[in-house]
Amino acid sequence: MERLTLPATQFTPLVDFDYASRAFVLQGESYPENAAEFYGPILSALRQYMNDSQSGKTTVTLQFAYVNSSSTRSLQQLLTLLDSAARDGASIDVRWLVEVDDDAMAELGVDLLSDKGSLSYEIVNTPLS
Amino acid sequence: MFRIGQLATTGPALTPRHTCVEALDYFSGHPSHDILPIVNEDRPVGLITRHVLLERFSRPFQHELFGNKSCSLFMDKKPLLVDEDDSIATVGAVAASDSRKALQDGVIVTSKGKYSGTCSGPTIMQVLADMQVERSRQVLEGVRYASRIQRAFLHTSNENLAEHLPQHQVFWEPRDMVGGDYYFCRGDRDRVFVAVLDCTGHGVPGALMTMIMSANLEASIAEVDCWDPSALLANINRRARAALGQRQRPQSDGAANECSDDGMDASLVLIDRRKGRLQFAGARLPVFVSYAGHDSWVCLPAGRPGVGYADTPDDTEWPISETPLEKGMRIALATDGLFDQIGETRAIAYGKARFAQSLGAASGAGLQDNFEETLSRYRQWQGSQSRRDDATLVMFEV
Repeated sequence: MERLTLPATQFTPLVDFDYASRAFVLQGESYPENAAEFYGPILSALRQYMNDSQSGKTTVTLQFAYVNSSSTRSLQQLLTLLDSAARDGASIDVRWLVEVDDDAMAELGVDLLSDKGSLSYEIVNTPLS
Repeated sequence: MFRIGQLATTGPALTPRHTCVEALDYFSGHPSHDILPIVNEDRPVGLITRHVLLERFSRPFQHELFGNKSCSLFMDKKPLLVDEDDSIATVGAVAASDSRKALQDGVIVTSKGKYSGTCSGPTIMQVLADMQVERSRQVLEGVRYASRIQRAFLHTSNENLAEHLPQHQVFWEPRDMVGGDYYFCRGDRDRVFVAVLDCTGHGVPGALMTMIMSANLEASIAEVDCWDPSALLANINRRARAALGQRQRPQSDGAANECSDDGMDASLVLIDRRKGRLQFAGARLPVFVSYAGHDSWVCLPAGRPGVGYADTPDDTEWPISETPLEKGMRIALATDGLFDQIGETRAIAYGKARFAQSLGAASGAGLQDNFEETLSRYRQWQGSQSRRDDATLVMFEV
């Protein structure tokens, strides 16, 4: 699959799906008018990648400053998808990066990840940017 | 809708039998015309533009070499031809995607294939821009009117707050004139019920959701026949899921983008003076309380799932928490437009902890000062950052 990259915009995060090195990154703010429309192709790409039964570890790095409620729904879908892939044997590490003192994003990380039983994840504090 | 024919100039045309000198004479005789159509037996065959012809004839010996040759030598042989009945929007779209610089030079307008006139590029662009401005103005006017309706719809809440909680303050500020935040109050002799709802989306979709959710709240109050915050959340959840057809949807990983998956966060508070207690149930929105004589505010946490969403099952229950009611106690309900606002000096969210601190900063003062200090700290945090969401803060003292 060809690497999927989208630059960050005022309303949407940077997207970098580097299939070759199995590293996936979403970073920035997420409050598009229509989150389902923005995340639709991203979820499809991820689903396709997971279906192509990859061996080796996949790392997913998520770092957000702001996520609106409809984007939260989409992230929930994304993590559910990763969780079911992990349950089926895929090796996936999710890193949820939170800037020191950012309670809201730390809370969101716990909220989104704590019920993902098969997924290996960590919530990581990062130094001040 | 505008037709291109209405904008066309039906100026004279030349034929390929006319010479370049005659074309030059045409331009000097019509200083406001920048294009000249060439027509052969009623059929348009090309378009000469002023700047191309003048540039050509500013070179040495051109008059001598080409002056008496056919003007078709220097015409664009493939100008954009459009039918007089084509809409301006269609012509604009075709012209913009056309590499023949139609937006710069203009188009030839035909009627049943025959030459009928021309329309300059700048004219097309001006009309397109005017149409866009007009369309935005109409949309904006509609939203402005919707804002009047939404504000009017809050008047019952305001009247009930005034009647049952004389000591109260409200900040309700949609990000885009209308929004997804809503507050509600109802009371009787012994009890007051207050709710703050934050529906998915903001702007027009958010405002639509507040109508659905407030109707479900009212209906649930009638159905459940009590003001139990937890029972009400559960009932609204079932009603909203049914109303939006979100029960049938398979809990897949989002393949079905067309399906609605909307709901709300909410905090519901019941003040029961007779029983001397405050009951609270929240869906992703907490409530903050402070007792008289204490500076610190306590956050009563909310239950986890949002209300009404496709993957929030019908039998979901939101936990209820209870705390004693005391005279002078203050209560604050807010939406995440406050908690999640990105700051100016640090590009991170305001957060509930900082919000609770801001509540405590002027706890000793009267309710109004307490409220204003809280808002002023929030605005200071936001600074020059744009607002990310609708924001609501309802504060009251019992």
